[in-house]
Amino acid sequence: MHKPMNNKQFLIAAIGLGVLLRFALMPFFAHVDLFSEARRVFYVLENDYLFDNGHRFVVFYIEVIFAWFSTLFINVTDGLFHLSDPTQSVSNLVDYGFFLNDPNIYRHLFFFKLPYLIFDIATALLIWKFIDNPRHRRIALLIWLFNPLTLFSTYIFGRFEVISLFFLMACALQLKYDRVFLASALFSFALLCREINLLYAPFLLIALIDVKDHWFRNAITLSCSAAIIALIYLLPNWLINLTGGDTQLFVDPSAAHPNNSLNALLSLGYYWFYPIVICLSVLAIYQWEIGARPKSERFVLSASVVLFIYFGFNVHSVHYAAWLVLFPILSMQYGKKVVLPFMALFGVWLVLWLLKTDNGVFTLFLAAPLTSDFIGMGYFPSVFKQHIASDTFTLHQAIQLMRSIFLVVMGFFTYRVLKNESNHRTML
Amino acid sequence: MSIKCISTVAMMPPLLVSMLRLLTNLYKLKLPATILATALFSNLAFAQTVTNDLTATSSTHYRVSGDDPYIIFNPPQQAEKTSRYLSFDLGTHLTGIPLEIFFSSQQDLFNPYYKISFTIANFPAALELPADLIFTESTRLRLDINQCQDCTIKLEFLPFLSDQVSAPVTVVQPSRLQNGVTPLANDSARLNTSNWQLNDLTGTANNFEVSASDPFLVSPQLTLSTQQLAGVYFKLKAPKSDEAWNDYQLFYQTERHSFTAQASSTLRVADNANGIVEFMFPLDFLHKEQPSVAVLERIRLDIPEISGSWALLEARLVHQEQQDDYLDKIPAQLLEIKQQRATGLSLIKKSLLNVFADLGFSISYLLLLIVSTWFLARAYRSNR
Repeated sequence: MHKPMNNKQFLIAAIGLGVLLRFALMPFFAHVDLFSEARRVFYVLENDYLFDNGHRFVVFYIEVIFAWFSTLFINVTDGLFHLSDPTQSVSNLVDYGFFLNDPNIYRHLFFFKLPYLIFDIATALLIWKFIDNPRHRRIALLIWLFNPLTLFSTYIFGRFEVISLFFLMACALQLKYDRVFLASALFSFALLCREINLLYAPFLLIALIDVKDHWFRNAITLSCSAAIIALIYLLPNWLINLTGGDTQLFVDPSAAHPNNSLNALLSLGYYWFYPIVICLSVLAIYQWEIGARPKSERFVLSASVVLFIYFGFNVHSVHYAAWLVLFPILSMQYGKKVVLPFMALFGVWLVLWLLKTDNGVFTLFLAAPLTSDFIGMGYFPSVFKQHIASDTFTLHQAIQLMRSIFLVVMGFFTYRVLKNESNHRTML
Repeated sequence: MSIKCISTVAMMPPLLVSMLRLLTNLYKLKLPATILATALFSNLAFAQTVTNDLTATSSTHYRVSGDDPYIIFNPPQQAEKTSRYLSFDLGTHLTGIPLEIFFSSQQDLFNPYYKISFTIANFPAALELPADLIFTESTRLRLDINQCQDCTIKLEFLPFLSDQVSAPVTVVQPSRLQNGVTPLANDSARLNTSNWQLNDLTGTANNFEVSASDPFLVSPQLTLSTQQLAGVYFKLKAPKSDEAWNDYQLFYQTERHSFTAQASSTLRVADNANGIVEFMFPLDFLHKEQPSVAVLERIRLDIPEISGSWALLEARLVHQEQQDDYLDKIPAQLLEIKQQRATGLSLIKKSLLNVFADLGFSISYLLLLIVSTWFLARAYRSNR
């Protein structure tokens, strides 16, 4: 008689299949951004600039360590990662073309994505640990391991989002165990991976306030946490400056910097800046009002909605959508029904980017490591224009339509995350 | 495809001669009367002319009605073997339009490697023929009209051969002559480096300096088959660069395309302290493209913008039999942009071949997948 899988078996099977799927993708796909990142890493290795570059410090040094490890297995082709000017590290297509034709490209891609795999699987294990309900944790694990957003952004596009998400995950887990200062330290590691995580900072600090505690104790906790976050975040740059390093090693001095630095940090169109500030303020009030709930719950719920607001009004690169995945998954710990919104998100993300892509973002260009014949093989917008578009329904209109639906999906997610959990058995 | 044959019965010769002066004034050709007489008479007498994608709109005018308009005809000629001009008057619509004359055929099947390309700015005009082309009485020519949608062609008389022209007939030079294909010699072809054209360079190919931002050298005209071509080898004297690595780009022009980035290769070589740089651009993929026999017409080498004294010491088209001798001249960093890409099954096959080309990786990767699966199954079973 067939015996159902026990929890451990489920975990092993899911992680195992997830790893095999990731292995299958790792060596064969990449965006040119991954090569630009690799050039910066190898530049540091080749020139022994190990105490320079304060930008995304944590991610960068994890990549440096793995790149060094990879050189034990790969004879790096002379000049392949050469950068004549580190401030011009963003690769052009000629340099990327050399990389695509390098006989060791599959090894390079495999090793360069290896830290992503490790942090990705570690995140999956922490999700498993975070969620108590056996049924919910299974669903959460499956969503994390097999969702197209993180698979695409990490193993096809080849970006490091999962490292940042790992530290956010670890932060939420420590909050669950009431280890406030450790959570703060882990949060600052996440900040050193992606500046966008700064959006969560006020909500983390509000979540640390325990309404049942004395105000003085709360004040001490808040002050210490803020100090930990600030110190760890600023420490690398401070140390690099102190040792005479160049924190601006890869910064292009000629690049235009907008005057409004906060606006620039959020990469927002100017007219969307204020609506987002308003919505985030409303969210902060909501978070204050649910102050009786556990710290981790308040942080997870508000962190989910922060990104729903942010993405609802703003579209970034295709792989940034991976940021949307973690906190809604964690909200399942609190009985939130997010499976259906996730399905809607995957669908709308796919269609939106099929329509919105340029030649190299959501096209077969990403398979160019297999053969450069994939470059310029056409992309969906041209098919749309040729076979679907009409005078009354243009590509631009189709994109705007999908953008609107994307906003609706973000609203749907927000509703499901903020709604009080019901007793329905289904997680849909 | 609509093919229309024009056959006209000869008219009375005396009548034609009397019309001659009138026509000469009318068209202001001012050609020798005998030439025009021959042309007109021949035209009307036995014009076994074939047209394609051309629709008659009157007895003397045709409209382009398809993608491949051409006329096949026997050119009337005044003096056999000495003809140096092919004279035309095709009407104002064809001024500035790229035209081609194919001149080698068997039963009206024309060989694409024998053609003269030209453009006429003003009609009437006479195309100056290369001295080594000899047209006999039985020569059939095909005039192709390119890039001319819905335009009208005046065809009061067929293009005819003559040994002289006089004003106001405009004499035009061929923009390109392709007189067959030369197979590449087994011992490769060393190109003469003295007559290369230079761009943004001062001096000659044997001694030059970079003078502006787009420096390149263009070879003289070639008509070499790409069928046995392995690549192009260069040896240059190059000045010391500030950069550790320098890029060189090869453009190759065939009968199907001129110089374009979509048919080019770029390679990156380390700056050489002794001042001599040598490398080979592989072009062995060209014979795998369709059609497999292409004609290499010119090559262009773009060099890095380094100031100092340069020299093109050697340029060689390498035969496939010599390919092994030049393998070490192919730099590791090479980018080839090809005109024809693999699709469908051949794309999958090519991808797999690329993956298995790194045998060490392929074996390790497969082992990793097998070992991971084995561990997964073992861990799953042990936790029952």
